[in-house]
Amino acid sequence: MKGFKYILALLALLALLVGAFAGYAQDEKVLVIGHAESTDSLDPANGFTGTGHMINHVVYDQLVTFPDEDASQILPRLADSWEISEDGLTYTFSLNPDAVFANGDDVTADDVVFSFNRLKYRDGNPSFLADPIDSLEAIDDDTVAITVVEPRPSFLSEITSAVFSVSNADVVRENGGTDAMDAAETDEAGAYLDSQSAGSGPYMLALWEPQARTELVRNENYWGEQPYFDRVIIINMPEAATQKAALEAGEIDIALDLSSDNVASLVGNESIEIYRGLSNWTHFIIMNTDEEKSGPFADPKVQLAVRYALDYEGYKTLWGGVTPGSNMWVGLFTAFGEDRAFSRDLDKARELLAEAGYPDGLDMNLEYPDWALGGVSFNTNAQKIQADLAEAGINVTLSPGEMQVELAKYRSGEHSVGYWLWGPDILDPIDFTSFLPGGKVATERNNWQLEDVPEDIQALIARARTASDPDERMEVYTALQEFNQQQGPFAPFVVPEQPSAYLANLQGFIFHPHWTLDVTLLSRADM
Amino acid sequence: MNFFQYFIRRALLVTPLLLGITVMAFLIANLIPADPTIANLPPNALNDEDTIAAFRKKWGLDKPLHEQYLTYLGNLLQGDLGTSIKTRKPVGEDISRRLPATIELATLGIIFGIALGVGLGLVSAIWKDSLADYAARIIAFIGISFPVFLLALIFLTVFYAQMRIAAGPGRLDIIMRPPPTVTGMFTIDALLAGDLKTFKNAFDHLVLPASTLALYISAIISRITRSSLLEVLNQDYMRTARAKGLRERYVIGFHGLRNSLIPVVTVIGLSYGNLLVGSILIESIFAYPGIGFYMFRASTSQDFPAIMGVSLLFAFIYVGVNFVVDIIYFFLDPRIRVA
Repeated sequence: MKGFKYILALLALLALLVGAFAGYAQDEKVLVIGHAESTDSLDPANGFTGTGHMINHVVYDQLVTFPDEDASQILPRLADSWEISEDGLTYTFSLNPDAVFANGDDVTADDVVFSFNRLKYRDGNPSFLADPIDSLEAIDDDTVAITVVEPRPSFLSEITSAVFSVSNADVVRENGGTDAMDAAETDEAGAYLDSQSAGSGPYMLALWEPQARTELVRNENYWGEQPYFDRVIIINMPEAATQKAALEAGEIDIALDLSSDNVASLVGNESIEIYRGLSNWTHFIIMNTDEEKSGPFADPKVQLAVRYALDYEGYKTLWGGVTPGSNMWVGLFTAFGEDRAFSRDLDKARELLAEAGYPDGLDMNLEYPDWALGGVSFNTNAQKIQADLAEAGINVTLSPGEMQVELAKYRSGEHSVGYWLWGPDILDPIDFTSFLPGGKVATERNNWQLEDVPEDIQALIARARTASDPDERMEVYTALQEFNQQQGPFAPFVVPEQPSAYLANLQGFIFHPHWTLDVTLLSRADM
Repeated sequence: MNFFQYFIRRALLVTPLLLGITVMAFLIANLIPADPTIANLPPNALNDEDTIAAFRKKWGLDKPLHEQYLTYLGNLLQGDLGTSIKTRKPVGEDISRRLPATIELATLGIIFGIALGVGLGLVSAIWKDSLADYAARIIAFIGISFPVFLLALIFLTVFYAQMRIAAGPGRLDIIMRPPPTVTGMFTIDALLAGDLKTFKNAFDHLVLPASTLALYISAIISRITRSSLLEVLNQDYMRTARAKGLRERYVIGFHGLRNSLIPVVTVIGLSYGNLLVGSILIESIFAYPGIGFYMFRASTSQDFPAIMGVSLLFAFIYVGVNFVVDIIYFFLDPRIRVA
């Protein structure tokens, strides 16, 4: 009998242990996201990846932010108001006096100065984004002035990025951080910030096990509205098929990175919702303006013919998404969307080719990388371009190459006709100036010089770089997009979709072009 | 030649072999026409030349190749495998965290594989040319010719997502906490902590990936078992054993299987090395954070230090296994002692 009691006690102890190790508190509200993690670092001044943006967007606060679904305007966040000096060089921000860090410290102007300088001097992957900043000054505890090198209408859009997160200067300093000019060599806070956060956002970093999982817990000291979920777990599942299986099994709430073919088999599953977000990639054909490189394709008439010859609906059938009306990403303020996009008109294309002196057609050599991004294959699209243009009388030879080789050719403007994609560096219409004479893509990569275009267009381009008034920007960017549609050497043809799926009881899922997903918007319905 | 001489001779051969492997791994990783900047920086950053230059400088990619190699070798001799570009952690630390997971998976895989492979081989040999033989050979044929990642996906979809009878990706259910780390192998650590629930969960999560691996290696094991046993079954001593009236069970078990197992054991040893390599695809599909998963990410992002580290580890395991096999031959095969 004594032995029996002993065994009983042992079993009880074992049961206790099992309970103790079994996992999270029962009443905790946990959100689980299956995601192909790309994180390189969670130190805001060092990391520069999609996953890092998604996490630091809610772990840290930025001075200003975008609306939940797009980049159409600038909203307050840490700064509750701001002023721009007459010369457009100095931005003065008033910080919200209620804002506190997760450890209870006040968020002050000094923290902003420290964080931005640290970004600038850290020499990390995102440090170039701080290049436009000339100097920073803490005027008082709640006021900070930032001076930029030259007028920069996109500056507010740029500092919405999680790279410009404000971190607790004291905490980062205590753990080896510095904002000194030699921060590239002397800053040692990276390891600390990869394991815990020093921010004022609604969540705190609880764990980052690279390539396995990231956990966020709710910041009980958060100075704004508390989010619904107590804990957010991001599980690294690099394969879309794995994410899909785990979602079907109900083990994850969100499968963040699916592709069009994965989504197809989920249609009709009542416990799963499919979300067809828009990727921020514009796929386009680029025709070299230098006649020595591209021959007939330097002729604006031939370029326009190519735009009329493409079967835009066909690309949407392949990848979902929308047809862009210009090389400005469709989600941006002033951008042309489908309502202003081209429709296929083969007669017009043939007519234009005849006018240009090619009634019997002509040959094109299409150069592009043998690559795929987000499941969208360059090879597939190139084959479709070949078939589309053949119907207008353009005989396309496909010349795929290794990414590095093709990129080098493209960067130095050596290609004849190329196929590439573009994602905005900055979520602001000014990004479009890359595709105008004098801009990076147009001139450096495609030899389209400022003197090639009429003087009134040159003046518009100059205004586009400095205009900050919304009405003026609308006018200027509309005219410039129209000009590019008629005279430009580009043929943008699709902005593919970026599908995700989630359990049907989840509410508030919104895909954002910048931070992908804001987990604070999510909640679970009782079912 | 005595054992000591033989041992030294084999051991000396291992050193230049490993050195050669570092050269090969380094060259292959560097000569393939892919650029780590493209693989590691976000596409947007590729528009910025300063960022690219800073990245190349930071990771030493701006130096000539031979200089990069000599620096690597110098650090290696001091036991420093370098820092991973992707995880920004020392490669040695990354490997030591992930290797136990893979050992756990590969060990269960080999146990399942031996059971299945030897079992199928026995059936095939004993009932040669029967229906059972054909069935066993078809299973082996599928295992050897079916892409392992496809098998993994089918298992995952059917047994986990659809039928819900198997545990899914990862090492534990997502909401479970890992047991306190002792060996890094969750099943063993859970047992050490007396945590049966976690043990069962960790074991359940091993079943699907281990079965996939098992099917993959059982094909080879069953074929070797079959042919080796068939050869033995035709030997004179088998006829003698039967002639002296032994029951068939003993004839096969003691005289047949035992003698035919020698080549099988060799294949099993080598398969273990194969399993570690085969785990690259399996771990990636099962989101199982082991060394294969690590290698997969390292290769797709041109993470040179990590690629080199894991290549060396794999080479070391192969060389180690071969070394042990060589030593075993010394005892098994008297002819080596004479040579």
